[in-house]
Formats: sequence, structure tokens, C-alpha cells
Amino acid sequence: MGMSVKGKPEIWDDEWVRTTCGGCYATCTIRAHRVNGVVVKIEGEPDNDFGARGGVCGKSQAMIQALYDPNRINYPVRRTNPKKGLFEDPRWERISWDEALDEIARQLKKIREDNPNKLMHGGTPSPGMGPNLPLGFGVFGAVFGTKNWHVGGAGLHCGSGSHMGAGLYHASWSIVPDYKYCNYAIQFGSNKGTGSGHSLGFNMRLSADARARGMKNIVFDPICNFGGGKATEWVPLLPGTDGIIALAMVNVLLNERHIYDAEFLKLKTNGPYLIGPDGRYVRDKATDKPMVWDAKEGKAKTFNDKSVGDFALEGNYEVNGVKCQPSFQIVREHMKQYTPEYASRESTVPAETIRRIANEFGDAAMVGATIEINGQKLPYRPVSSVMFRGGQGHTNSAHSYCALCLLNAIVGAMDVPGGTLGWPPMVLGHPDTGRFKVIPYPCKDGMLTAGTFMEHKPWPIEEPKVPTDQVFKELCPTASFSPQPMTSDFDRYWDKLGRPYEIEMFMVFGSNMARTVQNRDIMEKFLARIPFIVSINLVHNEFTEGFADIVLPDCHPLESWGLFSSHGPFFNWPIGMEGWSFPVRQPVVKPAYERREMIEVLWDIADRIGMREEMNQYYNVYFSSFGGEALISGDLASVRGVKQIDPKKVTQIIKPEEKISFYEMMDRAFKFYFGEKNDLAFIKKHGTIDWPKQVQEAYWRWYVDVRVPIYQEHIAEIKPEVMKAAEKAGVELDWEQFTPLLSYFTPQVSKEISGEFDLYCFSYRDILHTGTYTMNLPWLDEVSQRSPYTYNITMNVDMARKKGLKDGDLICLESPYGRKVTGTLKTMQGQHPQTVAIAACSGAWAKGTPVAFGKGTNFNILLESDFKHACPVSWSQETAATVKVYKTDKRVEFEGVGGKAK
Amino acid sequence: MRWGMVIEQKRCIGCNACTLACKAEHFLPPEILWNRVLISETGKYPTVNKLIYSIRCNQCDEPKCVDACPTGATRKREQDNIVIIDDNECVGCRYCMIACPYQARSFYEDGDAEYFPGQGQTEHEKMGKVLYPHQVGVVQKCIFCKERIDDGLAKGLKPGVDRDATPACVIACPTMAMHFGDLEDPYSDINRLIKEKKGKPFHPEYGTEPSIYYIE
Repeated sequence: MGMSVKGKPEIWDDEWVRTTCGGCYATCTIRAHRVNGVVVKIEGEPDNDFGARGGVCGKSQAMIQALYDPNRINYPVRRTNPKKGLFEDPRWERISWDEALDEIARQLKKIREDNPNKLMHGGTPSPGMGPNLPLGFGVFGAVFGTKNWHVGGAGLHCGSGSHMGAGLYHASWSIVPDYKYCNYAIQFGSNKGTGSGHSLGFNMRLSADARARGMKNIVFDPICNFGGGKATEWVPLLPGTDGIIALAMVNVLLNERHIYDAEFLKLKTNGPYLIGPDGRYVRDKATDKPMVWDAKEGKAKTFNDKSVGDFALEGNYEVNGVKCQPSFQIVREHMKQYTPEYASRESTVPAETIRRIANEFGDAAMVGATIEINGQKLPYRPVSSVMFRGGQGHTNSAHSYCALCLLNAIVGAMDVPGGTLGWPPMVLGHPDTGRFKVIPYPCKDGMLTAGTFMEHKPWPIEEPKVPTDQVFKELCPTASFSPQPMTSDFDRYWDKLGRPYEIEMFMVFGSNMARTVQNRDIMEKFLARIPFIVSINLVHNEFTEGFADIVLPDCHPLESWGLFSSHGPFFNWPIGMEGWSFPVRQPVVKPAYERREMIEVLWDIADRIGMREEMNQYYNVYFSSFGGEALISGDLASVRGVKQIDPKKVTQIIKPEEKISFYEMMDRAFKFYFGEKNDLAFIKKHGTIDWPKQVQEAYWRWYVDVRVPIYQEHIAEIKPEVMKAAEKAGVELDWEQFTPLLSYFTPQVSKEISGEFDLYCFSYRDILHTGTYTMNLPWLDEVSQRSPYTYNITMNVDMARKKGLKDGDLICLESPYGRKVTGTLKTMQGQHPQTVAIAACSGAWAKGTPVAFGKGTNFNILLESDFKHACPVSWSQETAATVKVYKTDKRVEFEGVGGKAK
Repeated sequence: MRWGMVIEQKRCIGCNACTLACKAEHFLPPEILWNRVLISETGKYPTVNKLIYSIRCNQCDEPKCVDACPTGATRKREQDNIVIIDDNECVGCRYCMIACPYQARSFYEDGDAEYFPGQGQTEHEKMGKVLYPHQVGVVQKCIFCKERIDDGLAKGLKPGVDRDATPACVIACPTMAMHFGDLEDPYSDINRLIKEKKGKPFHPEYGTEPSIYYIE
């Protein structure tokens, strides 16, 4: 049985089922043990690399309690209280599936005939929920025709700057140090391997191996907890100043040490591209291609002219009568202002520390070194700098994130052994079929572009437009997840645009936007006026109780099918030479009560509104994009551009008129990707389709002729058009940030530090929690209650003393905007004195999560939600708040909970 | 034979996977934890180190709990040194809880306690009462997953090597920080690690000769 048993109980069912975890985004492979029809144990899958190779995190094991949570939603329900608001009692009434779906279909039909944009759709593929977000909601919304796609916690929990930057520099969704070979890793505000949901299982395993091997790990973080606590050196800094430290390091390397990988800069970046006095590329008149200077022949050529003997990185030239210089020279010159002393004034990190770490990084980079792996000789750059949520969650998000990418780029430590790796963007296909293939390719001006659809696909740059979408992504093509329209300034812009339409319906998959989005009061105003909100969820939370009209019961991951683990190889798949594993999610137990598979529910709705055929066509494009012949080469600009695809290039996996089950679709997809014998029956037994990774997949950078921008010319290109379109909407952004030169901009949180508002408050990821749901799981709650930090507000011990505060005090944090939260103080040595910290997503008040109720503090209440508090380039929200702190005697944020007036 | 454990602190990230694996493996009742992770810090700002100790019963060679037990319910297993509690002999006096300097023991008082208070026992909790029933009114603690070890050995498996014969916390560790083996075997991996990396028990000054060692 592989499990402790006492006595001799009668056992009639004893199975270990291979599937994927649904505890967070990482979707690690697991084995779930079912005994007599009940899931009793979850272990990590030891036989593949898609996880911790037998190990597993605490959240994953607690998914058993999520499955059997008595608060699960079991039947469709309808709100009978017409009032909506944060603390309203929904007064649920059970209805039948037919009643629910007929009502939803009636509304959708009306909207689709009128204006599909009146439907807003979105969600989050976690926690507890299936990974079928793109196959379900993504496809449904795209086919329906709405541009209003809103991700739960958009601009807040997700990494707008980092997804944008990872797309730009790695054709991927995020980045990881190559733990196997890296000797020196710098981590800015992230918990890779120590808490982050991204690639959690294999990151925990690989980063531990790296620490045991002796990899140095420098962690810049205001708090010494999950990331800093495992660092070889923890360096406290002020929130939002990560970028200037990275820039200062670039300066030390380029201008003090003259350490850089010239070959990488010449062949893999736009460093040699010539820049004119207008800040733009000097282009060839005939071909419009950017020009470079061939130092060997002493003349200008187009960047991809095969005859270029030596790409000049320095010098002043005149081409076509225009004075110009290579972008590298401009970048290097620009960096001179970022002295370690300047970075020190902004960040409080001593200048000598910054200089020393820059030097150590430069020396450890071993520029010029090579390594042989499986007979292939490759550049060996065992240094990496990475960032995620914390470092990039500020109004300088895009510049900060790209600055650390620049640090990697100048030493050539990108997708080569030891360097920074993106989640794998290059798969040459399964050996039997050549399918499930994705290859990055050079798009406009030779720039690196992902070989399949992805949200953060930078090229070709879309044209900025006066927005017709309410998320305003049309306005700014570099924007990633948008906080709009759940902001305090949206109405001003929408009014100016003449209020072209209003959102009449919101369909949300999972997620809990009342608690995970910046500022619940602003959110409340937006949601309360949407006439019809549908949620598909596991439990009732602050969002469903406050605002949903109909709630449909979803299956838990342990009751579900799932085809993709998240979105594809560029999301969460193991890095480096870790093997390829395509995992399946399958039910360990049958869905109980009337819970239904979300995808099939959406198909039922599609049938009711006559949209199933279009969805089938769309699936064909979707699957073909990982295996259809032409699509992999990149003419699928985005999954939303599906209608422009030549139908001849699409493999028909589902006939338009067919009405198949999700099981059948998965079976066909597996056969299409991996051959007839690797059907769903096979993969159910084995859990994954495994095949070895090739060196040119793991370390693809020098195998594909692509470049990345150390000089962001495209920002200069789009600036005038974004400004023009923004003016029509009355949108004011910090236009200075629209500069091609990576720079430091003071984050909004620092600008608001003044007088008694003297502290920076931020939230951090606790390893036992993700999203808001995990806090309702009793096992995790018991452990969290025993943690000195999870449910408390932490502060530096000396600062607390200065303020007359001590451990156990009930304190209030108040922002200059009058937003308040309260909680219990726990002092720490390992925290920057000017900061206050809160574990993310605590402070529940929903009736549907009684275990979590009242525990911890909901940090997000402190945040503002508007363009002033957003990065103008990536639209990441400022996720640190300026606060004053004082003792209090009541928990103000819970006033009004329980249906009473606020 | 004397089963022992080595925990590599450089690897351990304090994720509590061990805590949860133990909860699941033994269907532990609410508020009872055989395995815990202690988290604290040392040093002064800005030179701070986080301290993380994954702890459970140390299966001491000189167990104070055994000395304190008036009925002989708590005793060392002859074959492998695991400290066990015989439910039938334990009278619930809890002297052992006071005697144990590591606070590794819990008293199980309320057999009706629910994980979701007031909402009834879940299917999972009910299954626990079938597969791994706990006796109310007695003291309980980590027993190094003796059922896994005994079943594994009976099948010819090697504890510390084969997953099915190794304690649940060890195989759950996602950072592979935990090692299990025979302290009396001079060639065991854990003895090598203790020797090479100068392993020390948690609070060796208590003088109970624990079987769990920590290395950097």
C-alpha cells in the first residue's frame, strides 16, 4: 500500500494515480493515493523532472483538504440578494444546471449580437483550479469576440514587467538561474526555489542542489525570509530600487572593469545597430533594415548582411548623411550616471557592497569560457541575475526588470550553461512525430520572438490605438496585464472617450478579485455596477459572495482532466537538461455532487449560443500551433489573431460540427502530438510522455539567429503614437519612461514618503500559501498559526522600538490616501528598518472560508489602483504602499462584515 | 540496528512539506503535529541568518520520556531503538510530555474534533479513523513511520533507500534535505554525512543522545 496502516482494515480499492497538482501555478507531477474511494495521500512523482522528483510541497499535500472541504460549492446557485457589495450576504438559492446555463446563454446571446466587448472574461488558473484556463476561458472569450480579458490580480500578483521582459529577452514567461551550472546568482525580490509558485517543484529541488554544491546566492530583498533566508548573502534594500542596483552593476562592469561579452553583444543583441540623433535606428533605404557598421570593411551594412566581418560596438559614423553610433556605445555612456554611490543613495545599500557584488558577478561570468555538454561546445557563463514579483512590482517595473536582463546580456549569460534561462521556448518536437514543436525565430529587425502564441509576444509591435477595450491594452502594446478598468481613474478616460459601451456581463474562472486585486473599495465600485456576473469556483469567497449572480461548481484538480500543464513549455517547464515531460491531469476520484468540468460547461454554453463550431475551429488552430507545419514558424502572431490564419495550415483535429467530450479531445490531441500509441489510455497509466532534451533545446540561444534589444528602440518608436492615442482618452502617463535607454525612475511609493508617512509597506509570498484559498485549508492554517510571521505584520525591531511598538501589539497601517489595515506586530532583525511587511492574501472575511476568516491582514487594501500607480510601459501596479504605523484597539477593515452597513 | 536521520540545513527551506506529509501519513487529528518546523533568526540587522529546524521525536538513545513513564508504555523498540508508545499501557498521565525537552509529544484528548470546526468530519477524516485510528486519552508522537519500516523490511526493501520503507517526511522533502538510515552501520550514508559534515543533534546539551543530526 506504501502507507502507514494500523490494524487490518478492509481494503477494496488501493490505487496510486499519476496526475498534476493544482495547488499553485507550478502544476508539478504528483501521485495521489486513493483508498476505498477516498484520496488519502499526495506524493511527488519520483520518475520525471516536472517537479521535485518525489518531493512535494506542503500546499500540494493539503490539496486533499481542499478536495474534501465542506465549504465546496456542490450545485449551481443564484444570488437572491439584489444588492452587491463587499460585505453583502448573497443569499444563495440552489438552481439546476439547465436553469443556470439557459440564463447565462440568454445574456451572452444578447451581448454577442449587440457588442461582444460588453462581456468581460477572465480568471486565474490557481489555486486549486485546473490549468485549463487558456483552453477554456481563453478560447471561449477569443471566439466570443471580446477584447476584455482580465486576469485575477492583474497588474498586482502577476509580473507585468517580468512577463514583458522575459518575453522580450527569453521568448518565455519567466526566468530561472541555470542552477545546475550557475556559480553566482543574484536574486532581486523573488522567491525562486523558496516559495514562488512558478516552477516550484523543480526550482526547490534544483536550487537546493545548487546551494549544496556551493553556488553563491545574493538576495536583494527588504526582508530576510524565504528568499533572503536561504541566501549566502542577504542585502536589504528599499522597495522599488532594485533597478538602479542592476544599472549600477552594469556601469561597474562596462565602465570600471570593461567586462563584457563582445561576441554576444555583436551577434545576439542590437548593440551594433546604428542609432541616429533622433534615437532611432538608421535604416537601409532599400530594405528598411537597421544598419550596422562593419569595422573590417569600414562601411555600413544591414544587420543581417552575411558579409559583415566585424560588427562595430563603438565609434562615431556617418551613414546616409546621418551621424550615428552603435547602440552599445550609447548604452555604455548612459550607464555612467548610475554610480554605485547614486544607487546607494536610492536603495540604502552601501556603494561598496554594490561595487563588490558587481565585481564578483563580472569575475564569475568567465566571459570567453566554454563548456562541452553531450559533445556540444557552448559558451559557459555561470552567473545569473533574476527578478520576479517583488522587484518588479513598482511604477518602474519595465525598466527595473529589463535592467537586470541587461546585466545578463552584457556578459552573454542568456540561455547558455550557467546563465539565466527562460522557461524552455524551444522544443524540437517528440522524436516519433516531430510534433509538439516550438522554435523561437527572428521577427522584426532580427528580434527574438516566441515560436507560438503567448501573451507577452513583443514582436511585431502592435500599433497603439485609441482604446476600444476597457483594459486599455490597445493603447499601449508593451503593456502586459492591465489594472484597468478596476481603477479609480477609469471613468475619467471612458467618459472622455464618450463611454462607447459598458460591461454588461463578467464571466470569471476561479480567482478572488475582491481580495487579490489592489484596493477592494475601488474594485467594489466597478463590480457593483456590472449587471450580471458569473463565477466558476470551488468555494465561495469574497468575490462570489459580494458580487456574483450565478456561481457554478467547478471540479477540484483531483477530480479533473487537464491537457496542458499551464500553457505550454514556455510556462513552468523544467529548465536546462531536465527531461521533457508532457503531463496529464486526471481525476483521482469522480466529481461529487453536481460539480462539472469547466471546459465542458463552456461547451454547453457554446452549444446554447451557437458558438461550438467556432470553438472547435479555434482548438484546431491552438493544437496546430504546437505541431502544424507552418504555424510553428511564427506567423501566428497571437492566439487572438486566429481568424487571419490560413486554414490550409491548420490540422483538423476536431470537425467543426462535432460535439466531443473533453476526454475525446485530449485523446485526439495526445495522438496528434505524440502518435497513435501515446493516446490518453497510455498517458493515464504513465502520467507523462517523456523524452530526452537535446542540448540545442536546453541552451538554444546560439542555435537560433535572434537578437535582443539592449537598446529599446521600439519604445522610442511607439512613444509618439501612444501619446497621441492617450491624449484622446485623456490618459497621462509618465512619458519620460518611454525611453529606449534603460534607466532608473523613482517608484511612486518613494515619492509618497513624507512626514509621518515614513515607511514602505509591502507583501511577500509565504511558501504555504498561494492566492487566497490556501488559508482555508486547516493543515496549512495550523502550521501558519505556529509560524512567527505568516499571520502577523512584521517590522524591524529597532524601528518598532523607536515607534514605541512591541511584539503582540495590535497596529494600524494607514496610507496617505486614508486606507487602513490592522494586524498583530512581530518584530524582526531581518527586515529593512524603513519597511513593514505582510504575508500576501491573508485577512479573509468571506463566509465561504470560515477557517481563514479574520486571520492575518489583507495588504491589498492599502494599494491605490490608477495610472499614477502603474508602470507606464508594462502597466504593473505599484505594489508597495507608503504608510504610517500606530497602535490601535480595533480591526477597522472588518467593520461591516456580516452584511451590516459599511 | 538504530534508525537515524540527518537533515541538511543548507537545503532545507522551511516549507513544512515534512510537517504535512506526517499529518497525511498518520491522519493526525486537529492541532496535533508530530513533525514541526521551527523558524527564527540570529544576528543583528543587517547581518542576519534565518534559522530553520525541522523537528520531531529524536528517538533518543537516552530518552527522558522512557524514564518518566510510570507504566512502561513508552519504551525503546529492541530491534531498532525507535521510541514507541503502547496505547494499551498508556494511562494519559502526561509525565512524558513534561520530561521530553523537545516538546515532541502531544496528548490526544478530543476524539470528535473536526478539521472544519462545526462542519462535520470530512470523508478523508472518516477514512483516517479506518486506516490509522488514534486512541483517545493517550499521548502520541513521531514513531519514525515504524509501519512503513516494518512493512518495507518485510518486503525486502531498505529504509532510507526505497521510498516505501522510508519515513513519509523524508520522501516528501522537495529539497532532498532529509536522509534516513542505520546509525549503527558505519558505512551508512547518514554516518558518512555526520562524520564528514560534523553533524550535531538539536540541543545536544540536553544529553538525551538523539538519533537525528543536523548538518550545515
